[in-house]
Amino acid sequence: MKYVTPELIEKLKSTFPKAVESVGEFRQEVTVTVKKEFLIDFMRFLKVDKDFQMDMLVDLTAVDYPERNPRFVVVYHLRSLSKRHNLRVKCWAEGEELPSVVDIWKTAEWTEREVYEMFGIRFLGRELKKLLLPQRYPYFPLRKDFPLEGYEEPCEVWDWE
Amino acid sequence: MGKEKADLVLNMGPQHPSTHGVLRLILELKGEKIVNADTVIGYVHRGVEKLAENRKYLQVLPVFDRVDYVSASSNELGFVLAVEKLLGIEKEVPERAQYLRVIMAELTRISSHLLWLGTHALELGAMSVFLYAFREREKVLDLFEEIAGGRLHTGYMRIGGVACDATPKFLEELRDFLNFFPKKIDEYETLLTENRIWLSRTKGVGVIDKETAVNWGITGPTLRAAGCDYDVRKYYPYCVYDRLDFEVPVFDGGDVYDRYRVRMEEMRQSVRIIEQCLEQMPEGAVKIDDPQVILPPKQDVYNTMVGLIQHFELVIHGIKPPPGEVYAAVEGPRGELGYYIVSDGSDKPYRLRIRPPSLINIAIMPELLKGHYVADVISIIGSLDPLMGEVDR
Repeated sequence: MKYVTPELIEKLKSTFPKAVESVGEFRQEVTVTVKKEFLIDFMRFLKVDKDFQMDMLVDLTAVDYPERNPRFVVVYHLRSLSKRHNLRVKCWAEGEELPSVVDIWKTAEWTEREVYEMFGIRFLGRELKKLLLPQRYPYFPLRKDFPLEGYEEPCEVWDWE
Repeated sequence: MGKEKADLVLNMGPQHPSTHGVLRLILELKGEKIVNADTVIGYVHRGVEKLAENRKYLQVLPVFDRVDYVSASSNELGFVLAVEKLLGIEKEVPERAQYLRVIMAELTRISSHLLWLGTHALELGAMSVFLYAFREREKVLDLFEEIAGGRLHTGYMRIGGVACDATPKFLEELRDFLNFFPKKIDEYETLLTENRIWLSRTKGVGVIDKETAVNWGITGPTLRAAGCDYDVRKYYPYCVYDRLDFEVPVFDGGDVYDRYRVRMEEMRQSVRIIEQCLEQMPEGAVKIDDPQVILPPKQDVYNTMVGLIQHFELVIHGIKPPPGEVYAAVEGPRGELGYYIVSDGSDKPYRLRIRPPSLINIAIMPELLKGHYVADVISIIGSLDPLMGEVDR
């Protein structure tokens, strides 16, 4: 898979000198970590800038690091269909909250709901409902402290509407 | 569309024969028109991502057979490619294994599209297509059984190769299949492509334009029917797809009919790909020569000390990739199937995310259904081809 070139990363750094926390590369895959307060501007720039043209949000997910603070990192996989390059953007969810990117890419409509129900990260500026789990389910199953076997839920959790 | 007042709320599913599993739709109707729609999913949520975090890399493979249970080989292929990328051994996998993987992936595409064609046509009232499509799908499943032992859950891919070499009987039966199958595709097309009822049920129904499709992250046949040529096999070739000559069918209507045409053409291209694979496939090993990654042959385990130790080491300690994160994708029958793996250097994935094409493709459905008639709901769901096992995981 082709990822963005180092020149483009330099361009990102010069456009957002304060936003880019770090740039990592592993197996030719480039990851950029941005600060939460710049996230929306950063994403909008990636979508509209003519060198990037990231018109597709391939996937949105999160990773839980219980011993760290902030605990969760949200991972965005971006792609440009015309330039054929990819970029992974990460953003630490301080206070377990992040601004929503659903206005930029509609893919986030369901994937953000899934991250919310699985990790408990709230996305601001949109309506959030659980996607796969019952609405009244009290736990966040993909957190590392949730046991594999789960908890025995009281019956009233299962809302059949 | 503004908020129209509904005069009837219709609950469709989750137990409904034409929702491809357990998809529930709450439709607000005004007369026969849908003014608002809501989807409820999660009925077969099994927590596959959580399960994967608690299993070793070797143990986790069979779980993915059950994610998209009608295209098991594609799911496995995506996962083994991701782990190989994580280990940095993707160049060392023997060529014969790469060709066998492509053959299996394309056979899976054929079997999945045949299942889709049969059920989709059945839902729209063309009963006979269902019988024909399942007749041919049976042949594909027999091929799976011959090479892998399993008909649906093949379990054929391995990290660093494939489980076993193709038997002569498999290759012979596969050639037979490739000879007669293109004629069968033509046969299905005579039943449907110019059928007036089929046309009026599918043409101009459920139109998604290119920009909307890209914005919603839609991939696979649905995106290609909307006029975008994105196909992982062409954009980011994996295995040996860069050596194979095939076309990616693209239509620009974006409706149910064009999705049907894309899938029919894809089956023809899959036949072409498999034919080339059979021609080009070299002799040789089908597994990587690395005891750190792949289990030694049973013969060695039973008869030699070294084999026994290697087997023991690998089973107890597992594969330990370096810390890092990778994303690898394959073109599954439903679209881009991606695996994002975060490794912390242990023998289990720290985080494993499946990018399910079905889930992301049907997210548009509440928007798409608005303004359509109730009868079109079935044709739209069918044409998006969601598989609920994959939607819910």
